[in-house]
Amino acid sequence: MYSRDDFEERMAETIWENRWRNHTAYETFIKHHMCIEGAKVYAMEHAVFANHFPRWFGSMVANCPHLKARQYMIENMYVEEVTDPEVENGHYESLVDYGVALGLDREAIYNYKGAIYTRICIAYWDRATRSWPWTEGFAAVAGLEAARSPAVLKRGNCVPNNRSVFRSLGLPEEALAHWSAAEQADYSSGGHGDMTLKVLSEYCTTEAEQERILEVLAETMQVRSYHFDQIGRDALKAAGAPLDAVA
Amino acid sequence: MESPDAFETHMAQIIWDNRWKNPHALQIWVENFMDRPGAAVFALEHCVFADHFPRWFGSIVANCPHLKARQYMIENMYVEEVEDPTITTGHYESLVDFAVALGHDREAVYAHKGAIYTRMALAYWERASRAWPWLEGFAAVCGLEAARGPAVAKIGRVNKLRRSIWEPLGLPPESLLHWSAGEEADFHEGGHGDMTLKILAEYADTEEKQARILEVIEETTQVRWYHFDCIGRDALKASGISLEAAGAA
Repeated sequence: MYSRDDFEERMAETIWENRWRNHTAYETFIKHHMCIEGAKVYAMEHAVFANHFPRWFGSMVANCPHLKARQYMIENMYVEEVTDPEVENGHYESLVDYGVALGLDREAIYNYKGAIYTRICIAYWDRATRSWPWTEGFAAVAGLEAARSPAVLKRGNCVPNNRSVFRSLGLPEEALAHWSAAEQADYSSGGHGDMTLKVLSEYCTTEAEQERILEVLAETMQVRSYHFDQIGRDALKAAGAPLDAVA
Repeated sequence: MESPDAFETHMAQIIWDNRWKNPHALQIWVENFMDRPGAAVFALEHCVFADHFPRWFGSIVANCPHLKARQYMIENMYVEEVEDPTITTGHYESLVDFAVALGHDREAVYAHKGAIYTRMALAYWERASRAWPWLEGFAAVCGLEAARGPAVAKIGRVNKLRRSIWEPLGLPPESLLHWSAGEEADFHEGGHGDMTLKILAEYADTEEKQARILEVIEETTQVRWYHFDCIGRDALKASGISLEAAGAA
């Protein structure tokens, strides 16, 4: 069985291997073909994801017997759903503002249910949090935030999805508030990405539990990479860019 | 609110529109490029699906208050998991036999968890059966069998995964037993495909329920189409066919 520190390193390695070793079509899009039309595709799909993400924490909280872990999850939900200290009008709403600034209709964003690949991904995370033991659901969902944690980022080849990525679109500064908030919440030491690994290393206290968490992290990262790849392909199409580079 | 007959027809049309109107990559592969390497890709992924499918019924049964509907689902599970009257080796095992005949190692088939797109699709159906009201879970899972039922088949072209499509592979006849069983269970009047629509028409007894079932039927059929498209793309690659040449790019 790994020590806590070693297990955190092992988790970070697993996340990196499955999320950042090979870039998806989305990273190709943001690095080489960023434009309004492609950004709209991403905004629509990401708004669906962001609308569901905090709700998965509800299932995990329901399944978790440890107050300290529940406090962390509820704090995370609170920031996303009630008051985000970095965004005046709320975490999800700030993302919708970004979509509207790109030219999307606000009501259309609210009503959109996602491309079929987004719906399948959402089902994956919803199922994980409802059906699996809380640590496994937590790894599947909070693990997504860990992909941008310092322990993962230090391995290189990561492409942060932060405010600077979208700056070239020339949108008003207030339309990018969502991305500043995400940067603040996830990327730093002690942020959501970092805390995910710390919570997992605290509560996975047997070899079997650690092995299972590594399996879940590998799988959820593959799902996330697949999701970003599909979004990226649609964004590249919308941008009129060739798919050859990502085929 | 639609009458039961009109609702069955409406469901069948939605299934056909989302499943058969536009061919997915697997259909293109089956019709034009069938060979053993591609079939091996399909067999491996389909074994994962077949291993999970009957278990979703367990959750739907647990959520269903209607004995008659539960009897239908338990009968369906029984055929898949306990005794299939048309196969001595069992429904799932006969599919593994097919995969082994294509060159897979039996233990590797048992251990395979599916490509990532298969795992995601399985999560969709498992979540539907656990988290949604029983009728919606039933539509999501049993709706898959309805895609090959008579009401859908009469609307237009349907690609039935029947025994005859695999015969060109030249495998021993006993390795194709699974496909005879599927044909027997799903395709005909009163079969699983037909009964799905009849049960949905019986229990979706308000306008709201009918509207929701149509939504679910549409979504689950799109998930299945997408899943087959992903498998088909990998099958085409295994067959050495480019997606552009196959018209699936």
